[in-house]
Amino acid sequence: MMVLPGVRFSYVMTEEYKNASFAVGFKYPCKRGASSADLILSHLLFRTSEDYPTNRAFSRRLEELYATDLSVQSLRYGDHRAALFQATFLDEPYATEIPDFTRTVLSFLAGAILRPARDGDGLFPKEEIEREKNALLDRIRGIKNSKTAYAHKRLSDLTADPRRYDVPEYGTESEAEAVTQKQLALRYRAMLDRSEICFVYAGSLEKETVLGLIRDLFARVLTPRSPLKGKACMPRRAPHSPILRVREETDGEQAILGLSYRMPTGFSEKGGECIPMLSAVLSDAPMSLLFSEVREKGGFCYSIRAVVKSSNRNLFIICGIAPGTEGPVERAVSRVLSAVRAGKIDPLLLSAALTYVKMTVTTVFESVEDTVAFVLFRILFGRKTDPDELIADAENVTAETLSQYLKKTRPDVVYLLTPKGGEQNG
Amino acid sequence: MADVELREYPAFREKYWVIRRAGLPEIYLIPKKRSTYYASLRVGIGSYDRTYRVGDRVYPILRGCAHFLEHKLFANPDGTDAMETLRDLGADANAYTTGTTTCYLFSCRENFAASLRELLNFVSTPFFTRENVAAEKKIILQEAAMHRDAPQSRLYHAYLAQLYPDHPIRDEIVGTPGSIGRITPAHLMRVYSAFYHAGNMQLFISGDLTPDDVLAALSGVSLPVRDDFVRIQPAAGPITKPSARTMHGRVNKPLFAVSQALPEPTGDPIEKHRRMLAVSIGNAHLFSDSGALYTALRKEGLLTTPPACFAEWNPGVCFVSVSGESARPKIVYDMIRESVRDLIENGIGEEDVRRLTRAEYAGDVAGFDDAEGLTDAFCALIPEGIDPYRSASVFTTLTTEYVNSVLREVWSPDRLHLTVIRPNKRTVSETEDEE
Repeated sequence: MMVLPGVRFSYVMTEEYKNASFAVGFKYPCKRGASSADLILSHLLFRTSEDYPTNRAFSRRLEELYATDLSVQSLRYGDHRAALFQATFLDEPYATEIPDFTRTVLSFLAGAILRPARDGDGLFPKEEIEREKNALLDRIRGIKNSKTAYAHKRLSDLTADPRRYDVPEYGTESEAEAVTQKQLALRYRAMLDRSEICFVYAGSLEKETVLGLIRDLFARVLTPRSPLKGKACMPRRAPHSPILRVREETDGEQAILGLSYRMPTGFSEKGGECIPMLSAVLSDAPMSLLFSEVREKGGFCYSIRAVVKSSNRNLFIICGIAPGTEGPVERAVSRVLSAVRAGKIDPLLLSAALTYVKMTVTTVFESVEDTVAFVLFRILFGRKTDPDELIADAENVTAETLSQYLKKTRPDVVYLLTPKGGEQNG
Repeated sequence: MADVELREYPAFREKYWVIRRAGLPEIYLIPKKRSTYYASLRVGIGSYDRTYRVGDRVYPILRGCAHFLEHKLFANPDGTDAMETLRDLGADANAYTTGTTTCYLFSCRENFAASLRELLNFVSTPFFTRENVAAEKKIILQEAAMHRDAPQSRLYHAYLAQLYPDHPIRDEIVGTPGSIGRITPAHLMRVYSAFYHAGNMQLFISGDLTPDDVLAALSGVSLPVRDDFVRIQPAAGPITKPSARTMHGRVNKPLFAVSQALPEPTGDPIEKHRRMLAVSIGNAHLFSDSGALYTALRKEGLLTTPPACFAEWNPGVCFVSVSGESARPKIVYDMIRESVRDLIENGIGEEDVRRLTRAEYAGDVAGFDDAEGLTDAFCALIPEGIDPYRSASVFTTLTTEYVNSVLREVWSPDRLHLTVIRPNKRTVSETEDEE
């Protein structure tokens, strides 16, 4: 429901669970060069608050509140950034020693987001900013610890479009190092004042009770907002022609092969409804094509995954292989995609993929935490939330649908991270 | 005839059944009104098993054999693959091996009965040939390489070797290239025949089911039974002196682990459980972000995120480890030692025990919603004599005196090991400890 223009509330009543969950999401415009600031901001808000000005006091209070779990996501999707703040906590009947427990938790959450700890100048404290910066720099630099994660990052770098806001998920090291108190204060204002907002609750309290808590505790942001302009997907960019091949060396035993393809549409575009089924057929469903052809029959790898990067229409296929086998593996993957393009998918696999997608959708709605996170993201970015509709979309996908989709998908980049001295076998 | 026992926990509105019938593993049924069913078959064999006895004779087991069996059992004698069969029934199957256990599991929305029968069918119809064993070796060697390339995995095995130099816990579950290479169909069959029988298995199920549903699904199913098999637990060896080990690898910043062996809890299962929970409260006090230690480490810039802490409780090998990333792992180690010393000398205050107990209790209760997680928890805890639904109540019986007495007994600042993986090249500009 629309509470005010630009402010929504979604309510899921359930008495079946011992947990309840509540989240508030802010969707606001991306700003080039501000990804790191946005990430740091969202984490800062869950470290301290005006009422609990040290991280230790803040954490101890959460333990007092029956180990209420706070989680934050800062996502970039198209032209927009979203900061999603979520609290998952014991539902009223089980938090026996704190009366009016839900109000107490939501009050704490509202305090964290709307009354953060500040220094004498009204800005976020410098020491806390420095700590969050260092944490973010560790995250960015620590990607190299996992070869697979590093290969994924390199594929993202190599397929990025510099013309729009296609920036790395965490920002960059130089961006993170340059974050200032003033920049954070400005992004905080943008988040509170220029965003579309959505609240989601799942638990046993009545809808009107929750709405009353929102009006009471989040009054600061309950003002009408204009709809945001912008697109959910990047402009189309042609794939590299010829295919861009990049080879980098590392130590260790395994090589990591990353293959990137340009897809014709993203999730939220017409035709993108088939993407969940495509992912399932390729690598998510049991005995999926990549698993059975590349791993089981080829014996080339233990782990192979297809990952869809929807807002810039990239499909990544990443696997760990023995050095020197990248040529046969690339050909095996190519055979898999050719089979899908030709419409040659075993009906039993297609059926298994559909079952997998259905199970994924319904399982989300059997966890209050997952339900709230899922619904919040989708409402903010204008995607379907009704599980029956999502399942119906998957049921409409046929081998021919996937064939047509993959016929418009183009190979783009081949990235190989290989141990020093590993020979390339074409 | 089947014996069905109901266990109820009205305070949490939870219950489960224990179902016993000849020819079947002991079955634990956790009713949950969900659209998805979960089943997990646990077999009592893991990577720690290096020998076993049948009659008077002791037989060896090659490293990595338990894990190899886990991979290979999906192959059926009729040429089909059980994973494909389960897929065609609409089930998503998987398996994993730990130090003490191998589990075969699936989840599904339909055809639960048929999927359950297929699960028990494929684990009771081994099919090992030279060809399929050779093919699997290639895949497992890639899995082994993946683990050896992963710094966290290297760190983990390194500190286990420091804690237990003579115990199989120090070895990779998948085995070594040498041991994998020596595995033959005959070896697999011998080990399989010893371990894979009803008395060495348990089955854990959750879903919208009754005991009659499960018994009907398994009507006519009968697994091998044997009473001449003895599982041999390897000895852990004496508690080792504290040591420090440094390695190098592809890491951004030094990874560290501080670890300590713990005395194995003794007594009846409830008392063992109380001791384990007391240790978890101590761990929260020491290493969580509400504790004084993390506050100090964070303030000094020695850690940017809370360290990962966990306790592992296996027969003969129990330990706690704390790991993270720091430019100065030796200083972190020293500060941890001081905190442990302070814990032993001063204990945890009553208010802190109350707060941490509440948090641990809440974490347990919150987990009761997760049908899949509960199935996993039952699979891990029931064989140790621990009832997951009882855990939350046990927390409320822990007094401050009891918690502190356990912690004084198990912790020692003079038994802490340090393990570090440093970057291959010195690229960080911060000062690092001297090696």
